[in-house]
Amino acid sequence: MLKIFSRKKSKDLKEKREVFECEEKFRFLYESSGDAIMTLDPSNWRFTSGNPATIKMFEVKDEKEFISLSPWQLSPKFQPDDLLSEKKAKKMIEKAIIEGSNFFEWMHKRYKGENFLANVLLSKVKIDKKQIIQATVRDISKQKEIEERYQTLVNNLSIGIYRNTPGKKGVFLEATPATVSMFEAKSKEEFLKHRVSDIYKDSFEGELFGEKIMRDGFVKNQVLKLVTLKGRDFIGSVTAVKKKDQEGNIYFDGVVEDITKQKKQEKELEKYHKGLEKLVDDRTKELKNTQKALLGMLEDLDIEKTKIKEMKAKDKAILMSIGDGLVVTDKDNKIVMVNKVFEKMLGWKYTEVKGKDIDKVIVRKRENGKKMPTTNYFVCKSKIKFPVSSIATPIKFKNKIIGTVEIFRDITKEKELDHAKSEFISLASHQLRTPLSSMKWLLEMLVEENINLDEKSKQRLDNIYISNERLISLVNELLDINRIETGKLVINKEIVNITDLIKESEKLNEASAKKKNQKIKVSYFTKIKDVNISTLLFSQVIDNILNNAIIFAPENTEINIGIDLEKDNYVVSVHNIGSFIPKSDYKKIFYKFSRGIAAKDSRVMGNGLGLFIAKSAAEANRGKIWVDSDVDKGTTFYFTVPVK
Amino acid sequence: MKTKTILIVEDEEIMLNSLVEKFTIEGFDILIAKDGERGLEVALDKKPDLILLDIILPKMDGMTMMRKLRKENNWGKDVPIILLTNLTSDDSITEGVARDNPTYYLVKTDWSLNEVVEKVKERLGLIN
Repeated sequence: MLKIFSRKKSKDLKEKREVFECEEKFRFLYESSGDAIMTLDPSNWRFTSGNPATIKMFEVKDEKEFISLSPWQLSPKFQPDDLLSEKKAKKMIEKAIIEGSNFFEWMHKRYKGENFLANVLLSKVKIDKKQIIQATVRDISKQKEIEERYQTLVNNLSIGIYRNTPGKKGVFLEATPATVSMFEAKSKEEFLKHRVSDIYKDSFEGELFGEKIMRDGFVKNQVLKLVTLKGRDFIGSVTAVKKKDQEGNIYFDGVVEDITKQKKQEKELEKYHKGLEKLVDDRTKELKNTQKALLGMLEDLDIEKTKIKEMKAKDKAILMSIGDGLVVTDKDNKIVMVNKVFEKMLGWKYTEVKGKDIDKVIVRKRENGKKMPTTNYFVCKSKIKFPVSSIATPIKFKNKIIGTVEIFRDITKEKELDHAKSEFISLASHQLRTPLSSMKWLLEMLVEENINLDEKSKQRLDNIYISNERLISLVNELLDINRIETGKLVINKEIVNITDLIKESEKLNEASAKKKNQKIKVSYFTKIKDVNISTLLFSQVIDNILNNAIIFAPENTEINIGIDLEKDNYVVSVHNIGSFIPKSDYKKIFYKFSRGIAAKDSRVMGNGLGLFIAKSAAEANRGKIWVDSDVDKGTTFYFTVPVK
Repeated sequence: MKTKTILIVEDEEIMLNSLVEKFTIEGFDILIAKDGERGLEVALDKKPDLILLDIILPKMDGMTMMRKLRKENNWGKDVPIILLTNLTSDDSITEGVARDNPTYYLVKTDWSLNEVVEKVKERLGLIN
């Protein structure tokens, strides 16, 4: 019995202690809880207690103030669902009384403060047979705010988030609005009805993807061909993670992004890149071709250059090898080139004379300064003088004179030969003169002695005399030519009036003109000034021409001598009738030993030297001589004399 | 009128004979020399009224003889000399001929004997 008692007693004790412990526990919880815990008397809708968290949550002074407030004062007038807080609260409490508890969300209001959302748990409690409501209120305003922000974030994400079950028959468990719209589903519910395999364009690719997640635990940024519920293809980049729930079921959380545009852009970019590359490639090819062509051209140019160089070298070699001396100057008379013969003849090396004034290198001298014709002499480095024949020609390039080229030859030998010839002619002539003059005088004496000779013999004697005279005149003329040619003829210039010289010649030839009953007329219409010339040379010219005119003109004609002024020259003309000279002979008649047709026809005495002497003399007097002939009008010889 | 004496200096026999013959006919006294040296001797010794002088001569040429004569004495300075030659007046050998003042310079082939006589007479004042 005791035992039972004791057991019963111990049971009581135990129960008491348990109650006590429970009460302690409760008190602790009640005092320290972060949740507001309060009690409410449903009979009069009054609070009967509130823990410290309550005081704090509703921002009231103390428990006493809290109890003095009615529940409506701690809620806004309307709940978010537009129901009157007073009405809805009563319903919630009634539900709690009927069902024992009620958990719901409630919009509270801090006393004299802002609204805040809270989770409310109402529990029906019986204390001392009195029915009271115990309420636990948790402020979830912050939590809600975060949740909302998160939601907004998720909803506004262009990337879709979803959850699905693995395997061929996998289904979607969750999907964000972005996922829903990405797959063109009408709603989240509609989307969740579909299988995972529905979103893959290529189901095999989808299976591989799933297997990979299963194997590796995750797949990052896998590019997959996807298709919307409406059947539109797009390219998605999917990252998925394998997860397990509390029951050990495997599921995948995934993030999907529509990268069609990006891909398109990438493709376009790639295309653009390829285009660019092609362009660059083409350009490079083009460049290479150009380069190749250019190289070819350069090569050609090089070949041409070499050719030109060779040609130049050849030209130079030709110039250098010319047997005559050669010197080239620029337009300022500076030496730019000389050949080997130049170096040899003058003793100057090219390096010594390069760039120097040619006139300072080549000292030119004239034969004795006075005599005609002039021979040029060059003085070489060692001051030795030698005769040269030289021709200087201007170098014209593109109509501009860019310099001169002069070639010269040492004519020492020619000179010597020429001299020997002259000496020979001179000597021969003089030697000839002695017997000629002897014959002349002997014949003269024979004729004068009046020896008895028949007419025939007398005539023969006359002819011998005439022949001798012809020989004498031939020798004389030969000597004259020689004198002119060798320049031995001393040109003594005098101030004279050519009209006087013409008169002298007229007188000299008067006798022979008279024989043919010819008249010599001199006429001029300008005032003839004195000139500075060689009278001897002038007389040689006029005598020869006038003598010819008399010889060739028919009897009973007039010979006209005229003087005209043309520019800086007096032009003396001698005109006679007849003695036609064809144009082709205009030049020839002035050659040595040449006789014109007229001269041949008329059987006139002549040795073919007269006009040659006239020409030589006219030119030695700085003049010219020419002829003009017409069958009807006759023949006119002209020669000039410089006024100054 | 006193007979005039002429010295003829000429090496060429035929020429000399012709001249001697002609001037003898014309009534002149004749002196002859066949070279320049002899010519100078005769001239200085006989002092002729006029000298007909060839230029190309043995031993001493006519030019030299004339120059020496002109320098010798007053007579030699003034005696008329007619150069009678086959050389042209501007040959090198006759250069400076005018300096020694010859009366005439006659080229033989250009003058007949009569013309030479005329020139001599003219110079000696025997004509007009």
